[in-house]
Amino acid sequence: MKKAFVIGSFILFAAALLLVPQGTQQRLRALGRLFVQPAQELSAAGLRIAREALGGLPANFTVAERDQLLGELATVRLRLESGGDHVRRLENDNRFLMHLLKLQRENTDSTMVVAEVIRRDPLQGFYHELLLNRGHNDGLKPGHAVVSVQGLVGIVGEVSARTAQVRLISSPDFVLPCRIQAREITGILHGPDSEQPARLLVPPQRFTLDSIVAPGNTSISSGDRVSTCGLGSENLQDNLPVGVVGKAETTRSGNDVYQIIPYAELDRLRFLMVILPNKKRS
Amino acid sequence: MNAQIKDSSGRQLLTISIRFDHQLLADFLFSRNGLPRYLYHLLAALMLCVCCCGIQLSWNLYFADLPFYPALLYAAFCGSRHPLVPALLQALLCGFLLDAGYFQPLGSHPLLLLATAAACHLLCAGREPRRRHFIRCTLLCASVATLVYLGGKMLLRLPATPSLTGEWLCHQLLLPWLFHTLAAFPALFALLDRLDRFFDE
Repeated sequence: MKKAFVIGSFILFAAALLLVPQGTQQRLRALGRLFVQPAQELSAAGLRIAREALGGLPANFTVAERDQLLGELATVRLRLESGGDHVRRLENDNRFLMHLLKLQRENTDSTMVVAEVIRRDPLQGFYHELLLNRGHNDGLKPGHAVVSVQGLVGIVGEVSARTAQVRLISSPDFVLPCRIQAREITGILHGPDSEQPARLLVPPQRFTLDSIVAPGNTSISSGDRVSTCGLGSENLQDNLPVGVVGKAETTRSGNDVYQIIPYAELDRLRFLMVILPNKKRS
Repeated sequence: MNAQIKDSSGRQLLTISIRFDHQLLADFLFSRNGLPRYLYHLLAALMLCVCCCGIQLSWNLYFADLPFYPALLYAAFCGSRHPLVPALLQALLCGFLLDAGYFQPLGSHPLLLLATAAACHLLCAGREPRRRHFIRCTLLCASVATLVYLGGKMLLRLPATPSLTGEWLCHQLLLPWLFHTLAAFPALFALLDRLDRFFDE
């Protein structure tokens, strides 16, 4: 009887932890990471050495993945060799694009940090959040934008020394001020609504832009490009591509809501870039 | 040493007598069964909690093919060997550290580890898991702990759990269960028992 009471009390206490407010939870988690981080670093070093000793494979890389990659490499080499003129044309295009990229980098007001996705929970929140292998040691702060080659993927949430949690734009909790640059319109981008049933391994597509602030008679039409707006946070870079406007809807209260089709493909994320703005806005 | 409280007329109201037994004090401070034993248990509990959680957090990044849960092992060890309250306290601490490391809402890992520690404690109650019933207790703890932990993990995430295919069940349940039962639990339990015995004998 006494044992049952003790076990029940502990389980009730653990269940009560689930009800702790979000802000307090974040502070408690930060405190917990303070203790567990050194042990994690130490064990990671040991495991890395063991992994290297066992097969020389980098982290998170299985033998099957290596074989698949080697197969793909062989296929690509075959295609390149048989390409002929096509390859030379691609080389010229590549040189031209590299030149443009160099110009863009010279004028950029931000720093890019390349990060690898080290954890996406397949059972919970696969399209809600992920973990990157960069943290505040690399300059990351909450609110920094995370982008893929196509466009915005999410926003950095909590950050530890070597890891950072990213809330994806497909999360129901995702909210971000956005802008349609061409029309000088700002609005609030919301993730997919929670009423939608969960579909495993299918990225949610229903993003909405609402609370529109537009000068005069400006209207939004399908195909308009949506980008980030630096009003949301000092750490958020302006004008990062988010997606294009799709279908328009009107809510019961008469407000206009627009569906957004994101540029980024959220089902294949391996390497991402975190955008660190260099200049502080006044 | 005597301490006395007297009134104005000199009568003794209270007398406190403190005596030091040098032999007993020296035994308590410097013998293996005295203060060093308590310090060992406290430091070992803290270090093992933190280290087991650290390894569990790092393991799946480097050996994703083989599910291995050191924090679960340690919670089961505490449940089967230690008194109930310290065992549950350590399970709670491990769960809290895991939630912090995984950036998850607090509570899910503590619940699972508490259930595991409690189940192992109830299974080994009345037995002597260190000497006479080591193999039976270890096998029972490994089986129940792995099933409780993984089953609970699936239940807590039920809305997003994929359909139960044979391959998925094999990788998520059978492989960890076999690995824990045959290798990880016996090795860790034997090692920690050996350390505990050094101070207990």
